[in-house]
Amino acid sequence: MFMSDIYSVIAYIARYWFVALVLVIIWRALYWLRRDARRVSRALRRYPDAGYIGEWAVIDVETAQPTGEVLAAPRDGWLGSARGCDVCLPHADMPAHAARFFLRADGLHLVPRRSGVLMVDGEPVRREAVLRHGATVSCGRAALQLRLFAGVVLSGEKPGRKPRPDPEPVLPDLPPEVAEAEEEGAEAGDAPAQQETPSSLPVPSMTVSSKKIRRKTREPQTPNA
Amino acid sequence: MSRKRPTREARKQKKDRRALRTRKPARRRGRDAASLTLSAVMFFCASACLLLALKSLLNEGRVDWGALALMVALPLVCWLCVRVVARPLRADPMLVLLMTFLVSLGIVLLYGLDPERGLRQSVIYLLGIAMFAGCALSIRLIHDWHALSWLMIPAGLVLLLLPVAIGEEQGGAKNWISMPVIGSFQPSELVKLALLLTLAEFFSSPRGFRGMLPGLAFSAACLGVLMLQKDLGTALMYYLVTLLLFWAASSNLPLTLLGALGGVGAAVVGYRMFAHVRTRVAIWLNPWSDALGKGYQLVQALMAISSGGLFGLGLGMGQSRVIPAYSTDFIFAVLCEQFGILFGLCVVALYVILVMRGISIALRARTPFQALLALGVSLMIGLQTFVIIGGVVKLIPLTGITMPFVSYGGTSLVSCMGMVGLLCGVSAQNEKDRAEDERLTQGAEEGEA
Repeated sequence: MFMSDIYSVIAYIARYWFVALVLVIIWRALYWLRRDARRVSRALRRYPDAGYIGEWAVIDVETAQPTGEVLAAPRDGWLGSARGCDVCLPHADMPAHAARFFLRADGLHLVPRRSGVLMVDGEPVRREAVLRHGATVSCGRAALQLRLFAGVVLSGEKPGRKPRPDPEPVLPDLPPEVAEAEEEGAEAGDAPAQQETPSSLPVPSMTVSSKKIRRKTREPQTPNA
Repeated sequence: MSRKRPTREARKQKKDRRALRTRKPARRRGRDAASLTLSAVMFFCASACLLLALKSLLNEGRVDWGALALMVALPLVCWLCVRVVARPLRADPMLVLLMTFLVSLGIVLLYGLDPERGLRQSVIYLLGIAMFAGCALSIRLIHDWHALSWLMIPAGLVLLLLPVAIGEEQGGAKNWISMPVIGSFQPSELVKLALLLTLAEFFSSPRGFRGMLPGLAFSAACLGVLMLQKDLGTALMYYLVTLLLFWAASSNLPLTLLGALGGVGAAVVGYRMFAHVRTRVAIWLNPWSDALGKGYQLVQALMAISSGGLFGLGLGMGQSRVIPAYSTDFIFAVLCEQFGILFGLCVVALYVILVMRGISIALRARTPFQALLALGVSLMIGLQTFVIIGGVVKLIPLTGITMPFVSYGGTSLVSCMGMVGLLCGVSAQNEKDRAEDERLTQGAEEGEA
């Protein structure tokens, strides 16, 4: 009986010891959580592009030049005009959820929600398209050009440290209403913007090559009566 | 000659120089954080086991070799887990420490109640470490889970159907299988891992809702089989994790609400169909109405918690064995009785920290699969803890599930450690991606230069 009393006393004293130990564990765990959160925020400040594969440069369809606006390109997500999209281009011609994209070894796969709405390098996308550096995605008068970071190495490419050269955007024909406006402007004697040579255009903030801009041409459509 | 008082700037510079001299390098500082926590865990294991050995010596006059062996083995295994097993896997040391502490706490409690169960749990602890390492490695080595996910669906369903065919009923649910060498095990605990991996894979499909359908179908099939087995606690876990993961993956609030309404409807139907569900709800509302009958378990648990008070009665003290299922469902009541309500709250806080860590790992993951997997594991552990502790303290109706890491149960312990292994695998991948970012950034800066 006396021995069990001794044990009771020891157990009574030991319970404070156990509570103290578990409080130490909680304190260190919380310190750890806070320290790692600060480390992550420091890393994000140091590498703001961490987790991204490149950027989408917004292209002006009329001039076929970058507007200077860029959108960060994550590895996967949704492309569209809705606010919740990972790549959001608020343009009237861009559908709310235009396409889903995801990065694989061979390139950035683009799966449009509806067939034929999106165009990649002037070709309509039916089911899926694989984009590489410089590919242009357009929908009506909204156009984006993909520019991958140097560190993103796709299959068939050699790893490089220097940034890739600026590509030329490949756009389809302008929408009919713009083409009609150009024709009206040409009849009135005004020089339409599309006939200006690239060298006479104002230099945007992004570096763009001054090579001849390739444009897909189609037979002119007869206007409706 | 009076000494000239140093200027403010000079004092600041002196202070900075002293700080630089005494400041430890970053790696050593991180190591110190782990060392102090590891020391606290090891001290806890050693002192608790020593106390149990003393109890046997003073009360019964015999030397408890089992307790003395645990006094050496438990701290050693904790140290090995953190310094030897976790390091090559690049596992998150904080997760490993929390896991080892909770498992050791469970072993200490079980040994004090029933030495045989405590020793069996210690042996299963070693199996759990192997499962932890295997799961952590699998995330690092396997990059494409699509084919494996399709294989896991039929395998998981077959495992779940085994108890229906050849299983035995325990505690009103037919979800156990007896095997000659292994003993009895619960397949639904292992299928939990398959469910998490499958849901993460299919919910991260770029094909949208169509790509999610196989995962949803698998989850629905599992729920159907679990309802057949009357294992409603596990079914609740599966359902909640699927619903929350679906919402996280799709952000489709209308469909998620539809799923939630379906769950509520199923709960109402279950209440009307199953008598034991009605009994549990009635006992939850007023356990004192049948204190010696159906409410006995809950009443004894509440009395045990209250008799422990703030700091508990002491390790090995109290009348925990009067609580039915004291080693499985009501281990939290035993913990509160012996260590106190304050200690119980600290254990709950540790679970919360573990879940928060898992969610932060999910937020930092680079691929949707890893993010959903980490989130799914965190939700599973968090919800399971909430449901069982909530049931014990009469916050919600009681369900027959185990307290992660602490409760007696081989399959439960192995599956929980496996889940932490998956989490550590994702965390290791995050660290690898972060190091790659640093390398790319340094390379870009050199290239520009």
